[in-house]
Amino acid sequence: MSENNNPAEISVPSSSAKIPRALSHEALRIMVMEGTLSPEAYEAAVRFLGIRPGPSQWNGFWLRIFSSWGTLFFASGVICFFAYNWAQMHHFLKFALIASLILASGLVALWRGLDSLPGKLALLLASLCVGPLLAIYGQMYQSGADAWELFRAWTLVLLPLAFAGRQAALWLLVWLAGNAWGGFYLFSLPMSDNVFFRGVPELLLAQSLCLAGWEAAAHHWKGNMEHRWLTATWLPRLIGFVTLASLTAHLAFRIFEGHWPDYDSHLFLPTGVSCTALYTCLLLGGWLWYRKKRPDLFMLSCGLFSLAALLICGLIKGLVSTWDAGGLLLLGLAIAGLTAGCGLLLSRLHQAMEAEKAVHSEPLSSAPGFFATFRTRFSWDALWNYLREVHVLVGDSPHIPSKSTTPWYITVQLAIGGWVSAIFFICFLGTFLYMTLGIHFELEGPLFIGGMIFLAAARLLMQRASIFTEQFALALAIAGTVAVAAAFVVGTLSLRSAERLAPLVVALVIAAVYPFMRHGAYRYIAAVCGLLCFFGGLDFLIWHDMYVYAWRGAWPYSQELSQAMHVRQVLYVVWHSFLCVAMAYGWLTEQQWRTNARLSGLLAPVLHGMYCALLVSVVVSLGSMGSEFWMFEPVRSMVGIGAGIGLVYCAHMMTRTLAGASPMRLLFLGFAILALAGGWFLPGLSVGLLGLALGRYRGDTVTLGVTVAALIAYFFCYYYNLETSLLYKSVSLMGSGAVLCAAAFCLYMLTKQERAAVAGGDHA
Amino acid sequence: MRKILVAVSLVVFLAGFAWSVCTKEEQIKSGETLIVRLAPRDPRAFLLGDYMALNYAMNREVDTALSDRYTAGENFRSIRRGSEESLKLPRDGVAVVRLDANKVASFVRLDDGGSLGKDERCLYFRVRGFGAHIAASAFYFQEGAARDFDNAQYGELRVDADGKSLLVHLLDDKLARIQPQKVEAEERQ
Repeated sequence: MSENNNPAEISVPSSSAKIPRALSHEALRIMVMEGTLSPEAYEAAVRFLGIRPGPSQWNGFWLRIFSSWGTLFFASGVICFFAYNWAQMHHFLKFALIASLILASGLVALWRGLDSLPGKLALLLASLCVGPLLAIYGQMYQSGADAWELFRAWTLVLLPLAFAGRQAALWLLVWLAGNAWGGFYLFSLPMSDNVFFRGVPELLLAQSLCLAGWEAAAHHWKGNMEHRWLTATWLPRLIGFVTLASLTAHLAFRIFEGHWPDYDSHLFLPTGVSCTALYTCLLLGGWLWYRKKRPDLFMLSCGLFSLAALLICGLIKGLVSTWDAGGLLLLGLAIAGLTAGCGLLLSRLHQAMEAEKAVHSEPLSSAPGFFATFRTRFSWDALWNYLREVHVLVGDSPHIPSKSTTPWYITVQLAIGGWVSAIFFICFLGTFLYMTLGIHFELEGPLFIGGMIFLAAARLLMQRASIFTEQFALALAIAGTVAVAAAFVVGTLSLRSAERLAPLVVALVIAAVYPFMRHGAYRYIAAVCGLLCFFGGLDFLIWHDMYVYAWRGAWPYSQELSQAMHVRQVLYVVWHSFLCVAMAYGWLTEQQWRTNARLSGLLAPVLHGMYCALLVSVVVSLGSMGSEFWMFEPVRSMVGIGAGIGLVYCAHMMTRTLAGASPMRLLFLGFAILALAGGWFLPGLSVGLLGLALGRYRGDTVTLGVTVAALIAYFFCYYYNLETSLLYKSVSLMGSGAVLCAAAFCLYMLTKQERAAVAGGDHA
Repeated sequence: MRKILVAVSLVVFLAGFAWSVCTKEEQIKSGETLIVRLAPRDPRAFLLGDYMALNYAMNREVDTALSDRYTAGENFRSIRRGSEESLKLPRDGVAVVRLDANKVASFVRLDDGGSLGKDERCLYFRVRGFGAHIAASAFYFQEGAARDFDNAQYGELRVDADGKSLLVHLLDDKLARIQPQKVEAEERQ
């Protein structure tokens, strides 16, 4: 999801709005949508600011991606190789292999310097490989020792390396290993089968101290160039989010279950009191720190929504005892109102913080970021001067907008709030029809009418631009769509052998409602669900009988089936390459449709939804049905091939301006074709690279972050997937890791020559 | 300074690791052989690779003895989790076992500091989750070899002087070591 997919900006008048805001991609995007900046000027501005990468930024970006992914892929391959537990290989040989890998990468780190990119990656590889070494020790000497001892050893080795290494990724590893240590330790306590309730305050206190430690260090070394790595915000955000989420979940359980004598035992600290105290401290301390000392709206929004979640739990506990229609409706309304209230508060805060940022901006205090999507050293005036120089701006400097789009995390939180209240609205509708009106048979008619009433109410509410009406509209729209779709599904199920049409009917309902609901979050959710239902439904329609066989476990292994599989592969490759090429085409021509607000509102969520649907199908297919007919290996590979075709198209379009046979162009086309081939073995690889290419082209950090997170999830599912052997996984992962590192090396050598040429030219 | 820190921590870690490997190898070589009967439990997959979750017949006897000693005979497994009684339980302890001619161990008593009889040995156990574990609760093997271990009946341990054990092999009902490749070869014939 991205910052720009919500066309409904929230404009809140505030006293601070008069101060011009800081230069940002978001501001430029609003200006081009408002028409104060021409598309040509916007294009020139994003190129000037490095948001749209030029050749050197592309090279730098891919160099970082190829080398870091290469290292991580290689390390994952090493993990899979040793998890395979090759019986014929003597364990001393295993120890020697991995110990020498650790030593070798340690030496590379020392040789290339701990601050250089290869040095950092080599140190990361060494730290990662300590884990498999300890795992083989555990495999070999089965002493009954607890798993936490392994993670304790790993954490203790990682700590000095992280202190020396000064990189956020290493500290992430320390945090993960330390968490595994704590978690497994709690599991090992006698007679404790519930890690949620024993020792929780201790673990959460440790988490909070980690967060506080990071923030204190970042504050202490603020402005120190040597410690610029501490300005990375993603790690404290991750730790803060996880800590707050676990505390909230714990307190929510307590609200629902009241007093739990069984779980009130504790390690050192009394559980209930200390969790409540810790929660209060975190919220208050977090508010002071992230509002005053180091403004961070993400953290503030997490705190606020956590508070809202607890309040909602209290409400549910208090109201739901009756389970009547009125209570459910009230709950739905209360949840929508509460989340909207949070949204309003946060958007006011957002305005105020943007204005403060404009006044106290310190452009050089932060690291350029891994993806380097923005050059912070320019001011508005510098940008206007440049645009005048290249003749895309004539006359006065355009008016800088004071309003801002909703940040992605608030959109996500509001969307979740919308979903939750929609559930209560649907329950209300069901209870109302079933219990109050007593409709037991032929439910589809009343369900359809109820859903249409919801949809009409949502449509009316959407015409008023206020966050409250929008939030109610979102909840009603989701509930209405679900009710109408359910009415149609109930209708088709009652017809003879029409059940195979059910998913397609849902997709049709979503497509019919989509244009009428002018709400970014709604359209985004609808696009993802609609696309998945459409293609899944098409697949289900054609292969319905096979699904039924697979469902009953009676799978006909026959000639017929293998032919069916070939046809299915073709269907998959055609659909996914269509999806990827269409998405790439859409984003590459963005400047042409962005100026049309109506078209932009319709198209942007679909384009985001396409990528999200792609990620869902490639990640979920690994984790869920495994060897079922649904998505087995050769079919899944087709998703990777489709994404690879999209990549080749992207590489062709993005390097079109370069001369026909320029080495850069050939290199990037070569990379894309390699990724296409790699997509066969590892669909996640080509899908991920496509997301990165398009995300970087658009300068959209959110898409980039989502892609990286999805890739991590993909690897996790891949490891646990039983369909392919660990040995095969190890070979494909190490192979693609090596290819990626080789690609990084090629790029490095090529740009080295170019850099030298540029330097030489300067001298001449 | 930072480089020294990296070098020192890697070297110290690897040296400590090597030392630890040596002690375990020594235990395998010179530790006393002790065979314990398995209680059947399903083979499962994946964590450090594939493994088979193990339960030992003796675990139950240790549970009963612990119940007699610490919870006034109340069944060990029925104690409410996290209750006062459960907190009285020790986290680990030592059981005394007797070896027969085949070195198969049977439970005698919980160690009370008294001297050991002629065929008696110490065996260290841990109390985790739902009860006592007298040895490793998982046996790791090469992916795909799960079926070969289906007929495992005994576990072969190497025990040091303190009673700490290493699980080294799984044995069939005739006390013969199970070698996965051999099973495969026999099946092919």
